[in-house]
Amino acid sequence: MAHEATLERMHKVMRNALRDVPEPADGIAMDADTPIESLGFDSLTVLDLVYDLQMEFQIDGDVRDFSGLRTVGDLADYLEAKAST
Amino acid sequence: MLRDARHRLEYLLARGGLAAFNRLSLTAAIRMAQTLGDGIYVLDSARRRVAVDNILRAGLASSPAGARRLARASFRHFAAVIVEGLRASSLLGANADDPRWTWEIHPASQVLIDDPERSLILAGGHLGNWEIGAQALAQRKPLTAIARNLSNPYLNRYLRQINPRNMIRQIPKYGEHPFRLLELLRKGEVLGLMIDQHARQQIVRVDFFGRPASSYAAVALLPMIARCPLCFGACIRTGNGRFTMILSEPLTIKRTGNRNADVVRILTDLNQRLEAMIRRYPEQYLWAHRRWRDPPPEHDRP
Repeated sequence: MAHEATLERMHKVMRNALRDVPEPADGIAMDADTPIESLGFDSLTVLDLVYDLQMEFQIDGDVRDFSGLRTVGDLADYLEAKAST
Repeated sequence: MLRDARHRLEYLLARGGLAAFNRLSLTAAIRMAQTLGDGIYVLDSARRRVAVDNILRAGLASSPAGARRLARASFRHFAAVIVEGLRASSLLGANADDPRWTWEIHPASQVLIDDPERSLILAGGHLGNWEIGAQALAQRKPLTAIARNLSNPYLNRYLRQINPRNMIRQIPKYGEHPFRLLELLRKGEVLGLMIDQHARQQIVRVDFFGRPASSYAAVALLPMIARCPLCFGACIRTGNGRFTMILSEPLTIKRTGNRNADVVRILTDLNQRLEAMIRRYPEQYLWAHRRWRDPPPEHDRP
């Protein structure tokens, strides 16, 4: 389970990226169980999010790993694991 | 109601036209399509104006008369592209030495194509016969492209049925999991992206023939975040049913930390390559497409 600090940083980046999404989903809590696809990103706008997360968490690995992530919680766990390596 | 009637009429014309075209030889079908292209050039004044205006803006004709000649040639070319696209299965050479095809692939890119583990992002524009070029490349390495549905639902259904792009895997822009593109790049495939579509989101303004054009940042972001090689490609028509497929060396992708500057640099490089190719084959570009549209949105102004 990701730490609060990781979640907070991730949520901040996500909220930022959602500002540029034409039709962001309303009232999404971004709980650990929230599916990433319910947030309103499409396959192009999500690239901004991935870029920003890479910058925020200094991830320099293979972000193609993102493709296996399905929920906000999966993403937070991934970021925490990557950031700690 | 009126729109539905128009869509039905377009569908019936397309079906009837295809049935007639299928009985003809390729040369005869292209000749007939080019005559239709001439007709559309004359009758569709809105598209004609866009094409002529674009050619003048690009500086590829010194007079309106010259621009009109080039625009007409472009309409004829596009008609041939459609016929060849519909006949793709008979035009794709199964053998590498098919005399109808010439391959000009940079050796470094050839290595990527031959390696089943390596993925590649292929960026191109509406030049030459981009549809058949993608299909030809897909014979050598699986290729996926983002497809946009036609506004005519009847034609859409019909095209899905006859599937002239059967070598390419198509994914819709919407309705797929957001990480779908990243997932594709894990599989050692080619991802084909067009760089000359007017962007409505993720807008970056990049010069195209010296004029800012709204472009998608995604084409540049994807190779940066996925660390995947990016090449420019084009498939030029060298005759009826004959093609030269060109693939550049992988572009240098530098990530400096300045997102916007990096994106602009990559997109500028791609646009310059496309522009250079268009200057060589100006009649093979889809000039009727409105590449330069509205003024920059408020938030995008300096």
